[in-house]
Amino acid sequence: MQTPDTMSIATAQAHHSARVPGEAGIWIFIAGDLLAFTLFFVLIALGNGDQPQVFARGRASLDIGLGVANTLLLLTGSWLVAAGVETSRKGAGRAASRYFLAGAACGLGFIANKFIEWSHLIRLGASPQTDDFYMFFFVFTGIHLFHVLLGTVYMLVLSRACSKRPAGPERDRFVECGGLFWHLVDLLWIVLFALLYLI
Amino acid sequence: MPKPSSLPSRSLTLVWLALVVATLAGWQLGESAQHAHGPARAAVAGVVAIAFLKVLAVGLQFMELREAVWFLRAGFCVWVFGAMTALIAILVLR
Repeated sequence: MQTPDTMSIATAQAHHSARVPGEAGIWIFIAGDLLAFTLFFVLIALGNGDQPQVFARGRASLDIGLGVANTLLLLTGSWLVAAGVETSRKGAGRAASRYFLAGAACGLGFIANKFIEWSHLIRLGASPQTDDFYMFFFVFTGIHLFHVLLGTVYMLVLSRACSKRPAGPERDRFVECGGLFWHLVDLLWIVLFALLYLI
Repeated sequence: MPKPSSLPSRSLTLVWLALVVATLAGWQLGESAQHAHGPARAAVAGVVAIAFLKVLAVGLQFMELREAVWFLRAGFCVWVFGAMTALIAILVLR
């Protein structure tokens, strides 16, 4: 039979297990970003249906190897960042700091790859004015690249915070919000990559 | 050697490995869609479905929605399946 004390512990555990990761504000931002990018995804799909030859030609000019490498970089970054969040919660600030630094390195790798890819396309004469495929490609991957840049800076800030700030609920919340932002950037790329490079 | 408490949990690593494998599978399916003679609707639907399954895994595991309050998890799952269905419908049926 449960005593009032064991019942309150059970209630507290149940409450803890069903929580809002990070804080409510970051989820409002995530919802807004998901809706905006859903519109981008729909525009790409509609364009693909209206101008299949233009899209097939544009897609054929992309280096799919760079696209795959960028996907693997962001996925590996997500794994490292999630490990950083987990480790920070356990109070191991220095280890968490290294995970976030490694996550930032993945972000820098993505940015470097994008620079190589865009430079190559621009040398070939492609620009947002060329056709609808390149307009979607440069605008939507450009907006996403800005997210990667912000995510990379955020990971560097988290890396410093974990080695300087004491462990506790405030640091946990800050770290979780950073992790959520990074994973949002990762999942948006997963769909952009499929629609722009693969179909 | 890193302390056991600072190593990523087994579930994180397994999901990351599954995501890598799914990325390579999606790449191969995409190659077959692009080089198919004639309509490759099943391959296109497969590429989009794999992408959204990856998104679901990122959300549930890395964003910790698996253990989050039900309405966040439900909202995310509704978005994943709604967006996936809409995109497949546009790409395959139009």
